[in-house]
Amino acid sequence: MRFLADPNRRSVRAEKKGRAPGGVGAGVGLTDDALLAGLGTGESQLAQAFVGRFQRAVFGIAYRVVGDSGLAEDVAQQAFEHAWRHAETYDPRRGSVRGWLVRITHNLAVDAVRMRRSAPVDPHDLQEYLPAILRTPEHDTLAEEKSTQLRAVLAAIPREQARAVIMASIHAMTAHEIAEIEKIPLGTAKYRIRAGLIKLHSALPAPRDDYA
Amino acid sequence: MPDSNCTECMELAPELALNALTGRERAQVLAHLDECSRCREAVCALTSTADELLTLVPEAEPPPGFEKRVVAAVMPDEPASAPCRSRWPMATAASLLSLSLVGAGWLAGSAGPANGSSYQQAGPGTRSVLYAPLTNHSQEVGQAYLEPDQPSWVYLSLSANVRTDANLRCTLTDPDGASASLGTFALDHGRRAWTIPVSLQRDGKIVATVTDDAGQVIGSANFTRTAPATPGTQESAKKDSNDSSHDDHDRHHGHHKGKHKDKDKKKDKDKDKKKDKDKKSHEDDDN
Repeated sequence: MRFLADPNRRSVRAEKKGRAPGGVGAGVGLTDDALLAGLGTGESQLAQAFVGRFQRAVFGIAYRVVGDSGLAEDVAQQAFEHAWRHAETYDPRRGSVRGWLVRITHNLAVDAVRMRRSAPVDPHDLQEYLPAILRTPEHDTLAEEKSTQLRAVLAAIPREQARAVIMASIHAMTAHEIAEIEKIPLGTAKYRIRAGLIKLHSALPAPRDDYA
Repeated sequence: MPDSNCTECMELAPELALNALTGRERAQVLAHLDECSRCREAVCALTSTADELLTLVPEAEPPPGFEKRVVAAVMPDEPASAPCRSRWPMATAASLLSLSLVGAGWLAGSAGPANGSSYQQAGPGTRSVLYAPLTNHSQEVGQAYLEPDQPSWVYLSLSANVRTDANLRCTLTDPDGASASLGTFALDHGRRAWTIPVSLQRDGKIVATVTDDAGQVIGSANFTRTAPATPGTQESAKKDSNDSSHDDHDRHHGHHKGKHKDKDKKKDKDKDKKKDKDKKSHEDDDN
């Protein structure tokens, strides 16, 4: 099977919708939504295009959470398999296909880490969080507006609150774990999580309730 | 927890949204959310922001061969020429994407490339997926793709600004002018696109039409299905003589040169990686 989306504007439109560049999918003139829908046909080329388009995002979150390449690969594969089986649960009104896949991957990664790990994340790793997360990837000229705004707000709030929110969200760390790592009282950890997330939430536009 | 505990619930809502709440506190908040729709909405909104944070995590290159392994895992029984089958029920496939339309007018069904139908032979014995805009009175109301080879399928997507409360009917008209219904699709939750397995018998003009309950045409897409290319055909010769245009062509359409392209991309990625590494070492120095 070969794909051809004849008008050049088809590619432009797909990119505007936030499709990540790279992989097999870059050559396919289908939007993310269309590609996900196309998986229902059981076509292996569509499957390949789908994996090619999202594998870096999926592996990125898996690796960031589990911190081990082998385990991250297992988690990323499970995430794709889960997405396959539950594609019908994707709701475009709740966000992008990429965001949906990232959430699936994150849940699986957190489960994997909780099953395996007794100690929380290495504090040295935490040093990387903010610089890595606040930096818009150079190649990511298609970064969604919301992500850009989120990075800006995250950079503007007190650094310790941003760290607490990132530790809680990405590593699913509890206030107790954050308090332990940051060597701060539990109440302070809770305050940082609460204040940080509320500031981020207040600064972002309300989510769309109408897909149109 | 009664309503008077909304304050306490909202204190803990951020931790719940971040999935960082455990034990008794978590149980208490969840019990309260069962009873309090206002707090539930607030937690949902915070959860949506918390989810957005996950999308900021930098991407990373998976180990070599990852893509193939995943495809093999999800399609272990993929033969070279599998019969058309759906991995989930058609209604479910239909529900993957939203469909919200407004039926208006009757489509003037002119055919051919002038109307946007596009086609290109991709290689010996194969055909490209065909693209055609879904139009109504020359106005684009969506997109359509048709896989001309078995297993064939048609993918229809309606623009978000097209709205209707009606159920949609889709029909496919073959080159002989015979129409076959592809089914009726309910418009719930603003869904606007779906994929439908189809059976194609003959080459020629194929029209996919979407109508509403009353039979009003909402949009129509015209495809031209032709025989697959064979080695040494005019198409192959044309391709050979147009080598200089391949790069640009591939950027927009191709997958045919996927390997070369992937190699180039890998080079770019390696460059990016190196840049990131350099950058990181500077940051480490700063710290």
